[in-house]
Amino acid sequence: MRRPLQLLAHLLVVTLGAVSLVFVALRITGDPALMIAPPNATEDDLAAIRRDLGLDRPPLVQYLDFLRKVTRGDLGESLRYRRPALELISERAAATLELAGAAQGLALLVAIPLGVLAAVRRSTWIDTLVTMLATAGQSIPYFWLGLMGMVLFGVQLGWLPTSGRGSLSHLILPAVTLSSYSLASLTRLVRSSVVEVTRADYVRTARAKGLGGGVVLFKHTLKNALIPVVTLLGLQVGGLLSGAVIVETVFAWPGIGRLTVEAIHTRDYPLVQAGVLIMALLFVVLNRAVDVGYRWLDPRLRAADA
Amino acid sequence: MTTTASARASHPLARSEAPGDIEDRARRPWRIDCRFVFGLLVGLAVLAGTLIPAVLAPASPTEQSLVDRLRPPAWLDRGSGEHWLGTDSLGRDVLSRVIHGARTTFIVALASSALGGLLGIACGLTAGYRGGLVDEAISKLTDVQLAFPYLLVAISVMAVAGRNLLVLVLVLAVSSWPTFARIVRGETLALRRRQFIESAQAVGGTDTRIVLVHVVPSLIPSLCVVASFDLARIIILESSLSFLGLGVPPPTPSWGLDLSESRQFVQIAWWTVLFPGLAISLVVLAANLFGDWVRDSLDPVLRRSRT
Repeated sequence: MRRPLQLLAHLLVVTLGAVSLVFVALRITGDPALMIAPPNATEDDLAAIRRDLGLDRPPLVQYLDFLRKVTRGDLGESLRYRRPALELISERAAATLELAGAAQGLALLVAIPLGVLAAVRRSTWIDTLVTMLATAGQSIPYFWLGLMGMVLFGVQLGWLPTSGRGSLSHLILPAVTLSSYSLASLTRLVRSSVVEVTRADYVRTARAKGLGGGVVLFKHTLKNALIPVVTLLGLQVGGLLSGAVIVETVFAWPGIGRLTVEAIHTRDYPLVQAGVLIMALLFVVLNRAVDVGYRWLDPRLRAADA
Repeated sequence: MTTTASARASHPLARSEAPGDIEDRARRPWRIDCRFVFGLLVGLAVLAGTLIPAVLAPASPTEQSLVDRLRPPAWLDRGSGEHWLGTDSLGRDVLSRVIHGARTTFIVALASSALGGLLGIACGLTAGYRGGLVDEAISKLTDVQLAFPYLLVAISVMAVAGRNLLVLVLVLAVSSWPTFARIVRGETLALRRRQFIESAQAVGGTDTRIVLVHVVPSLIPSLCVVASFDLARIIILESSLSFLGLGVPPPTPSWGLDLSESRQFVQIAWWTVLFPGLAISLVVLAANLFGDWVRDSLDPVLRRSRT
């Protein structure tokens, strides 16, 4: 019973941290009233906006009020859409999860065979090529890769749609773009992990007792080499969500990220706040889920908990 | 979350080479290879673009000419020899903007990384040398920030503060302190138990003196590695923010900003997007490769000195 409670406590602490961070980031750095008001607003107009939003009260009172509302699921009303911010965001959550899930799935599907191939053919041209491609993949910014994919496959070749969501073909370009960084780092990790495990005593024993190369590779090497991969998946959740903001903007993908960026440009301050908050929550939950899955996969960690 | 495996997966000093590669390298640690050459060449090009852009660029980066707008690169049909890489939507020379953009990228990245680095080094030294509650607090904070999607924080802050170079540098600097702090803390912790530090303490050296004279110089090699990866990361973050319209304020030539402004023309004028993005990718790749090279070169040396 100890672990579920611990998990819940952790979830609460991190969520409170995220909520507070969002609050501080949005209040300390500038005046939201200035952000909302039209350029020709007078000092009286600004005062009225501040009174409307409760910004004229002491910061601590505002913070407590903000927390009280958040616990009731009230994230304010969007200034542009005139609808509750939470409602707008939950409508878009599925699109973001679909994109992030597809990207991470693709990354795993490609990275594991590629990394194993590079490790098995260590110090050959295959290894060099895979390592070089992986380093390049880690260095190319999402927005550029996305735009170039759009030009090549959307405009020049006309094979794929360049924006929006709908059929599977709409998903291909955004998902491939978002997968690039994870794919590259996973490939590098799988490669070095497999090479390291290949030198472990139990792999040498397995070889010595006459098992075939395939059995040793899949049953002994790969199973152990993939443990750090699961850890990296957990660490990649944050980067994946950040990347989704960019990729959604490039491909007009109707997710939370694009909604938030649009809200920034239209100065829809409650919606920005809600968007950032929900992304932070999504991050906490996904991260914890990977952590739980990790403990389930590796019996050594489960033993350490007991 | 802090298992050894996760530490290795995220650790900037974790080798890119596998143990087998190390044996070859231990014999000749500072072998010059293509990673070094590539890093050096791109680094020199960026430096030249930062110092003497006006000498290198064929035209002014801000001069507009609506007659010449969206002209393709010289080798294409409508291209002209005056604009090798074509012109953007306002008729500005793309090549000149790419060359002039180097300065913004380089200075913003360097200032942020230096500021964040100093902060991280100070925190890491304090945590590693003092230990106790301070260490606990700093380590927790670094863990939390390293895992959190920082772009979201950066977006919120820049959205409220508006496009402002100083705020941008601060936001980027805050993004880079945890990596420095984590590495410096670990190394300081290991150094503290070494005999030369104990002797310095025994002869009555003050903590400040011991840290500055004995600890800091030993950290320099690892800091070189962390700094190159950090530069790469900051350039990506800065250009991503500029791309979202939340970074460098116009009309400063900046690669991310150019991409953001040209984005709507990508369907008809790909060259306005291709070249600034290529510049970002090449610089980031060079910084990453250089970091890899220093780390792999350093590793056998470091291991020998530890044992």
